[in-house]
Amino acid sequence: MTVVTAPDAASLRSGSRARRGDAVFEGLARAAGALVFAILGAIAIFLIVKAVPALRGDQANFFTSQAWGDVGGTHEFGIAALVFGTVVTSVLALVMAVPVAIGVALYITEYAPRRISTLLGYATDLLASVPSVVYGLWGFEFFIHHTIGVQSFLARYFGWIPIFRHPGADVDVISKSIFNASIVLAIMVLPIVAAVCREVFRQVDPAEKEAALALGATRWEMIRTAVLPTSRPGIISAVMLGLGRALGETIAVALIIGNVTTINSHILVPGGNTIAANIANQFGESDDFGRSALIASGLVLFILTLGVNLIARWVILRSGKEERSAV
Amino acid sequence: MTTLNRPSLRRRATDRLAAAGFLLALLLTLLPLGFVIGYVAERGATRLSAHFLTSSMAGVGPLDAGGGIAQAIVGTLEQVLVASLIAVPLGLLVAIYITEYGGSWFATAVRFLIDVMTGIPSIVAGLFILAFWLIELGHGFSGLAGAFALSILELPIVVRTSEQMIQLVPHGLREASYALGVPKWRTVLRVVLPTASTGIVTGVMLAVARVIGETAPVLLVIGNNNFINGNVFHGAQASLGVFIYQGALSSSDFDVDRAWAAALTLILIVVVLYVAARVLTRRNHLVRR
Amino acid sequence: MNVSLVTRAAGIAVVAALGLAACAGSSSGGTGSTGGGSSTSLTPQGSTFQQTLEQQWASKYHQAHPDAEITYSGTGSSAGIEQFTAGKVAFAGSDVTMSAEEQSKADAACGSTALTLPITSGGVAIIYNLEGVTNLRLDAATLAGIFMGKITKWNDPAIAHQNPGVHLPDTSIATFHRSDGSGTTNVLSGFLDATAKSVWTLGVNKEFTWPSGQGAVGSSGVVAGVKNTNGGITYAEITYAKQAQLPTAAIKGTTGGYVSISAENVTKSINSGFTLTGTAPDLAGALSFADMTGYPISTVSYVLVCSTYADSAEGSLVKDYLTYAAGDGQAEADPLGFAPLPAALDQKVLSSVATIG
Repeated sequence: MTVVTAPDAASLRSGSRARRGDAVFEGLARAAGALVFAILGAIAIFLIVKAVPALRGDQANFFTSQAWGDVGGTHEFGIAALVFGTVVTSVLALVMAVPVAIGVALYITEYAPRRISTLLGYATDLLASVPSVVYGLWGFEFFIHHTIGVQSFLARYFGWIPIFRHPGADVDVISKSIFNASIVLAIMVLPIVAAVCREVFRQVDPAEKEAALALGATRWEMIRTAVLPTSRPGIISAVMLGLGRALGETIAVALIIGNVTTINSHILVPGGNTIAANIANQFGESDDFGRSALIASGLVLFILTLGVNLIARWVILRSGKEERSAV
Repeated sequence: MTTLNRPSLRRRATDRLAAAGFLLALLLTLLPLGFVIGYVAERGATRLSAHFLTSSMAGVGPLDAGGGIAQAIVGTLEQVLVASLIAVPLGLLVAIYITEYGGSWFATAVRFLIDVMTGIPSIVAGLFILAFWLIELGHGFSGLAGAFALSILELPIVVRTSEQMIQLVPHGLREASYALGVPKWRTVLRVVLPTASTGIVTGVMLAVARVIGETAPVLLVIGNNNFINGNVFHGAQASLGVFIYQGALSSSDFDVDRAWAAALTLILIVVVLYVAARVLTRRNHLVRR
Repeated sequence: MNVSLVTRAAGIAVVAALGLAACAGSSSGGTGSTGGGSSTSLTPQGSTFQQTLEQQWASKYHQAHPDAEITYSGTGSSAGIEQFTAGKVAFAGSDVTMSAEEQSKADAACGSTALTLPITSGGVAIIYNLEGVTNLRLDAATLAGIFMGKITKWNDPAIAHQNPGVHLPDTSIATFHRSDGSGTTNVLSGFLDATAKSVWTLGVNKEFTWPSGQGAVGSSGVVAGVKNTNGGITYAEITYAKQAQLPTAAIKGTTGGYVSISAENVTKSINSGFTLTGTAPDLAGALSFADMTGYPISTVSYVLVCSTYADSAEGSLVKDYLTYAAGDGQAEADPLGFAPLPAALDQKVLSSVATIG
């Protein structure tokens, strides 16, 4: 019979010293958590406090008015056009980017040979890190000049579709439009969504995939039945991440969009403005009231991105996955 | 002997179509992005030189072709460094808290708040620092203000990546440590963190790469300086992002050229950081490759 | 590979950054007290209109005085006034004079009277891009009609009537205006309000909700738009027209005929259309577009300074810099698209600058 000798007390290092160490460490960690609370709380409270003067003094309806002219002078402003522009450019950008992103991610994980796959993976990750100011600069100097052809084409031949209608002016006019801004946003958001989707697809259990193939599925069918369904929460995370980026994108949009603050559903027509771009453009020439109004719009943007995040979590929760996926 | 049925023509055709579709997606991704990068490289390369990187805009006017971005590089690096000094220790602690002490409602709440923080639009972070640090507290423009804005954006990224990495540490390691009687705090510091360290460092590098190019939050709070201001705590500083943005809007073609070269520099810095992070990841035995 | 790796990496990074900062920052300022700078560094800000000229002055001044580091940021007149009245900058650039409330805040921040001094003048060019046309003439009413969206085609009789012999195509007019608040918009609207009030109903302001046309950020944005649009027209500083190689229109105001924009014509307008309203050494003034005999869309741009500075070293730097700007610096104006101040006014500015202490 073997006797297991109890380790001697000293070597165990248990007892009050260890407990104290544990308590201190846990306290420290908890304090860090509390600090996060405090920081976020401070941001929220401070911004709300700063936004209140403008909200109180708004002569127009904050939610339905499209005006954003000389806010400091007229005390009239409203976020309707800004929210419209923000949401439309972002949604359009995602509509264009997400299918392509999923496609690229699937190509990298399922179709590409191993080495190319790793290389492409690095490339997408890297592209996701390119600062947006670079896209803005490129869009400003190059892109908007070269989409005239595309825009005229769309307006001429597809003008019967309401959003492409370009009433009034000649269609050969260069347009700093929602259309342009959406495309540049799509290009920016694409690698981000693709990089996350790639991670998600990589985590799919190979056994599931092999099972599908063993049952005689073609590669596409395997993807459709084994990869995509289980990856749904992750894909949604990726889309939400991309959406969050698009909604908050400031510099690139400020340089490219038409900056006319009105609601216009014809996306080829010059105009459109987003909350973030508006803040960047206006804050320099704003007085106290104007700045307060800008902060109010910033809060709206924050609530918008927060809402997007919450919806994503809810969808993920509903589909049964408790863990946050991949991001 | 049974043979596997060959899939019907229709199924094979769909498969081929799907493959073609994915290839198309690849092209649609690589072409525009490659084009953008190529354009930046071409436009920026002519001006990029050692001199450009090491001299500032001192004494260089809008009609002068010379000048450089040393002041912007120093500013950016210092702002990002200070931001990281704030965000990384704090972020690590938060990550440790939510993974190692994760049961309580408080931990779940903190997790949720970190999610909320990832959603803060970058301009709103800048607006907050402008309204609070600059206007309310009355400080002047400084690199520090920019660093604060950047840290708000960097913190949640660090927390998330660190959390992922810490979660990847096998429970067996922790349990072995506890079985030996090592207290929790020592386990975390001497077993969990070292094991996850490569991944954490990678995460930090990626967070830095993300944040280094942020223009909007910094634009509002650092002012502008053509001269090298080594003091991040006082006085206006330059930054690469702001330099590019202002150059784009200038009437001087020289300013525009310099902006392109600065954009190329920024991309190169991001690439270097990224490649370093990747190299580090290869040495990370926790991550399945 | 453990915690020490991380700390080692962090340590190296810290040392590297500090080292970089130390060796690069040996010539930096940034240890000063008030006014946003030390005795050898200033970071004024304000009007974007005078930005290019201020940057040229700052660079030339630095070449002559390597110890002085001045960086002007074009953050907008409103921002400049605000920073100045809060005592955050040593001086600010502004296209407009301060209101009474702003003046008293500035006086409090300075601890002495704040002075408004004209430092340069310039015109707002009407820049257009129309195939085959390089010598367009427009009067105030027509210009107003164009920007109000009432005149929509280039071959409109109102335009054709002023440009006999010029072949005007049947192209639509694409107007571009500033979407960010701008002193340039302020000047244009001031001109149109004074000379074509019946057509121009938007009043005078830095920004509007325009009835038609596209918006763009910054002068470079609007001019870039025009550059790529056949039929485009906008208003901006002349340097942008030169950069984009676009023609500018000759404008007819209330007095005089069609005048094209040039340094000489702008100076002539300031001579005739600018009257001082402040008491010396304060040289704030008012523009009367209706009285301008030269190029009719002209304006001055000011610097806002304190008459006495708490930090005397800062005060003497400001004084020295502005003495240069108002003196030899005026010669830098023309190549950059500005106009030197008329001689008499310039003398007054120099005398006022001499009183800064």
